[in-house]
Amino acid sequence: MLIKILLLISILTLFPFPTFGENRASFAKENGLLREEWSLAQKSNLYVVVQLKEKIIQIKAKGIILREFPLHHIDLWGNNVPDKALALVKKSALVKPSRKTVRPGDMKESEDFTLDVLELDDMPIRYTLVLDNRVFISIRPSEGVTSKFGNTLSSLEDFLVRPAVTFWYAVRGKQYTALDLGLEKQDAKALYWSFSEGAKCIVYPQ
Amino acid sequence: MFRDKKTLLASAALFLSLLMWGAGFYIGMWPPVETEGKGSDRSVSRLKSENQYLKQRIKSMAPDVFYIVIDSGNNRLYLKKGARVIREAVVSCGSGAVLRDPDKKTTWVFDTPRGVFTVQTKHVAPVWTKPDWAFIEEGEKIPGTVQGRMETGMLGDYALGFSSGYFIHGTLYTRLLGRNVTHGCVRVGDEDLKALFAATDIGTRIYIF
Repeated sequence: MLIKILLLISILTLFPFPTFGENRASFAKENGLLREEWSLAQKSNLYVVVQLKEKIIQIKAKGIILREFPLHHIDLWGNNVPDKALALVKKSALVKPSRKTVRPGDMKESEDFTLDVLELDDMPIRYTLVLDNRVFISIRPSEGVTSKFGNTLSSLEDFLVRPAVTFWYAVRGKQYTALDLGLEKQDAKALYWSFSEGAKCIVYPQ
Repeated sequence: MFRDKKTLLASAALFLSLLMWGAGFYIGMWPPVETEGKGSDRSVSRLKSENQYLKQRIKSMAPDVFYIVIDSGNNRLYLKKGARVIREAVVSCGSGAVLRDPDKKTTWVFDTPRGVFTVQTKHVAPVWTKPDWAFIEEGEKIPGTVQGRMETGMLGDYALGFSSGYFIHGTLYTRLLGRNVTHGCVRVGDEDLKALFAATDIGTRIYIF
């Protein structure tokens, strides 16, 4: 029986993946997203744009690209990303960078002055950006042997966990989207640094 | 018999779990095909031209006059005009530290604010009016008069005010340029500050990320 089920799953994987081609729906979706971006660009807040077709992530404000990071790897799982600006609910990392707490009198100039501050290098390189509408963006480092080993473990975990989560949301009639993006380590840190909770994100489809 | 029943239950549970996993796998790999949403009543050619127009409008939002871009993570400041970088400077931005006042139960977070701002004030030979946190941090008593808060020479030769109480100013601690050490202001070296002061006006945009 077990073999039959595994065989069935293997056969199902051979079905063609529905693509998002050049049709009216894709232009309408792009139109909706551009209108969302136009409205974000009127405000003074930073926002993040993920261009899956161009394989880039941009940090923008008032329409200006402040920083751009190339994507080395893209994997999409589950429902398509909703065609609206999504707010960052939280950043989830194994080890979160922590702020130093200054006690009154601590900063009195002394001989043994040491810098204990929150800097870019303290930011994680592997983390998940939890956006509203159950969209999860996993950032993974794209270079190095340990990174590749870590990515393999993450993929294995996703392979086991994601179908169960997807099923759970599907029976409740809710959407679930997971996006895996590979970034260079310094870029991953810079994105974590600049993308704050509450900021909006727009994902343009592939 | 009992053992057989147990095996049967375990097999059924395994079968159900695999079925659910398989269903989840299928939904995850092949999500429902998109239905046409907003804007679907318009023709493809109209949508295409509208999209081009929107892209162009967003792109054209970059000022064609001087503006400042500050990368608070890399501690870099760029004076730009259009897409051109006119000057690049190593600066110091907020330390991200937290200070708590145990008496008044006030908390300060020393971050450089992020977003889009404008230059609100320009000062030559600025005098620093020390805020409460500057005294609390050093364990000193907060003075009762404004005169007691005044400190000269700390902010360098020039200062550009933005947001509420933040400045782009000079520094005595030039060896710390390039590090996140400030209380939220942006410290700049003397020569860069002079160039910045000359190039900007009240209303010049500052983009901080």
